[in-house]
This record gives sequence, C-alpha cells and structure tokens, in this order.
Amino acid sequence: MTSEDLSPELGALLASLTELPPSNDPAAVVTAALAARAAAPLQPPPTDGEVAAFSRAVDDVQHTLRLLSNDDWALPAVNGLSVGELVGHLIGTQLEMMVGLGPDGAGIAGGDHIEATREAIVAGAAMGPVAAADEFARASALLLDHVNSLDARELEETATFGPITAEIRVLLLLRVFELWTHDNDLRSAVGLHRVEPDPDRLWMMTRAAMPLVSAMGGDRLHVVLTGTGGGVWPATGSEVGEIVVDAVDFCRRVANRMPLDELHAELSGDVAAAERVLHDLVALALD
Amino acid sequence: MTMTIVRPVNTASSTGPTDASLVARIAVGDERALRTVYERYSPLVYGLARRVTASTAHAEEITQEVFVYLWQNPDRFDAERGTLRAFLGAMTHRRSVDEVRRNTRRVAREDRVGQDASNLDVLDIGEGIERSQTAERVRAAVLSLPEQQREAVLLAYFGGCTFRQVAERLSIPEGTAKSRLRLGLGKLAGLLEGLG
Repeated sequence: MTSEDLSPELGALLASLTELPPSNDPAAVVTAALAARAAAPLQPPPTDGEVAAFSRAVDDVQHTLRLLSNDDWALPAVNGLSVGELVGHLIGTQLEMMVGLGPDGAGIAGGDHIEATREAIVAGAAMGPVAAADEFARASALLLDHVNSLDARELEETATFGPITAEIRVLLLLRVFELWTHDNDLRSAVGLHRVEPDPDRLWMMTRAAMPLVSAMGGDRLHVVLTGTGGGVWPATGSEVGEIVVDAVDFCRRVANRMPLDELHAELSGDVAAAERVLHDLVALALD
Repeated sequence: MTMTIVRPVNTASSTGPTDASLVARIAVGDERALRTVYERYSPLVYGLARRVTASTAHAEEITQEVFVYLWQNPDRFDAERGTLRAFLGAMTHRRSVDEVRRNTRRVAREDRVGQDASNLDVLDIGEGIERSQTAERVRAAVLSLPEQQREAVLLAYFGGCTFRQVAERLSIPEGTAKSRLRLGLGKLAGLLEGLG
C-alpha cells in the first residue's frame, strides 16, 4: 500500500485543509480542455440514417405486439383507445404513410392524426393480437420497402404528416417518436416495463426536435440535454436563460408523456421563459 | 434575474446545479459546466497540488491537467461511488505525488517533510489558508491522532511517501509503518464520518 491507497473520500477531506485560490486563468483551462476535446458529446454520432432508425423503431413495436394476449386487447391504453384500438391506429398510420409517400401519393393528409386512422382503429379492435401483429408487420414491411428505395435526394423532399410538413427524413424521425411513444403506451397498459430508444435513435430524435423547439422560442435559451442522445444547443439570439434536462425526459415531454410537474429540469436566467418553452413542448406531440 | 431551480418547482433549490448534473453536462460538451466545476473546485485542487508539490508552477500545471482530464473523461466519475470533490481530490493527490517523485528536488523536500512531520505547527498546515468548517474538523481530527499515527499519515499523504519510505523516515519496520497508517486512517475515517 502506498499513500495513493488512501481512500479518495479521506483524501479529499485532508485536501480541504489546503484550499487556495488558484492563479490559473479559468479561460486558459477551458481553452486547454477544448483543445483536448471539442465541445461535443462523448457519444459518437450515428453511422446510419433515419430509415434505419425507423426500421428499429418498428422492430421494437413488433416485439411488444408479440407479447400481447387476448386478455390485454380491451384494456385501456391512451387517449380513450383500448390496446386493440391503439394497435389498429399504428397499423393505419403505417398504411397511410405508405400510401402518402408512394409513387402516386400526393402526400399525407393533414388533420386529426387519430381520426385519420379511425377505420383502422375499429378494425384493430376487432382483430386479435396475433392477427394484428401480423398486419402491423405486413404494413411495416411495405412502408420500409418503399422508404428503403428512396435515395438521399428523395428523403430530402417535403411531405405532410398530420399537422406537420417537413422533409421525409424528418417525418420518419417523427414516426420514430410516435412508435416509441405508443410502444410504451401499450407496454404501460399491460404492465410491461418501459423501453427507451437505442442511443443512435435518441441522438436523431433530439436533433429532429430541437429545431422545432427553437421555433417555439427556445432559440433564446441555452439548452443542454444530458445523457444518451444529449447535446448542447446554445441560444442563437440574445440569451435569456438556460434549460438543462435529461434527453429521454425531454423526448417524453415532447411526446406529451411527461407531465410538467414531474419533469426534473434545471432552469436558470429567465425561468419564466424557460418554463414556457417546457410547457409548450407538448404542442409538438401528435396526440 | 439569475437563479437556478430544479423541477418539480416545489422543490426549488438555491444551491445551484449538482455535481452530478455538471458532470453530465460536461459529457455532452457543455463548456459552461466545466467553468462552474472549475470555479467550485479549483481552490481545492490547486491548494492540494501546491501543498504536495511545494511549487506554484507545478500546482498550476496539475490544476489544468485535472480539469482537462475531467473534461475528456467525465464518464470516469461515478456519483454513486463518491463525491466529485473526493474524485478530484484523489486525482490531484495522485498526480501531485507523481510530480514530486519525478522532481529532482524530491529528496530535499521529503527531508523537510520528514524532519517536521511530527510537528503540525512546523508543517504549518493551513497557514494563510481560508479554513472551512470542514477543514477545521479535519484538522482537529488529524491533531487528535496519536503522535505516531499522525506522523505516518502526514508523511504518506502530504509527503507522498510509500510504506517503505515512511518506515525509513521514522526508523521503524515496514509492518509497523503499515499498521500505524491503517490505524490512523481508520480513526480518521471514524472521526470524520458524515463529512464530505
């Protein structure tokens, strides 16, 4: 044993005998730090794209659907929909997106996202879980075949999904949000534990959402999303405040699945402005 | 208006961001968090490094190294295993001891520490330093140790001595040095329980 084996806690306590104001220039220390590592997340950026992220989100839902039983089908899920109806909604959304984005599609109609799939909701409720899982797999395969055939330029083309008009690659990420959200709605309804997106998906989800947050007034805030998929979004205008929040919690808030009074966030500066943005985030949710 | 609140709002805190939060921010590349950590802990890091190395230049260098290391490796800090204060203190101590060992003036410095280790006044711990309440308790705890144990702890911690070197300085067998250190550290841990 050497002196290095002293317990860190005790070492720090002994060290407290010797606090001195350092003569280092804090700016110089930060400059040295930035030279050693850029001001970017430790997590590397995703190496695959939005289509792959969407495909993995579909896989997650399919996995959950295979866990459902007949006894689960009529249980309440979310927004007044039963488990079976929610699965029907997911099937309908896949088909609607397929038709809208297809070669002859004129885009996906705007309007109420849930009502747009009412027929599929009714059909879903009438199916059992096995048939519904098969139908979801079939609809998803059709949609994935199509989006996999799109090249980079085509993914940049604009389309409309529900109330949102954006590039197709962005719409795919919004669907990643939606699939993750409803996957957890289903899991919650039947007593399964929550699942979170993989790190690459989270990375893309936060970066898809942040421009929308900026457009809601978030551009005057320094926003830090911590944890997997996190990052730093400095204010682009004159900064009035700061929000620090976990990236998954942020995504849940965007999806309207995290009540404001349960959201743990550090707010500083103009707290009212920061609270307003957090309050309004749910406007980005599709339901 | 500058304030920090932590949601839910009814648990508002005026103490500012937690260390765990700051390190999480560093992990996603928030240089502001590094500045805050620096402001919070650089007196500790610099003070300890200067005490151990007896060199302003080395202390400045080590201070920078410690914070750059944290910036590059925030994932090495685990809030469940200890405080950031302890993490930075341990890292600083380790680097400072390494520096002392590398330094060509090491022997002279160790001699000075060795000669004076039994006398806290000569060691002058805390001289000219702003003492916190915690520091006072730690100081009192160190002072309350039996002399032989106190000598061993001070040589090992502030002198950067190994067991063997502690034994040589105090002209005692290595086993005795080891025993005194363990006893001394055990008593300190008991006396300081709840601090940190």
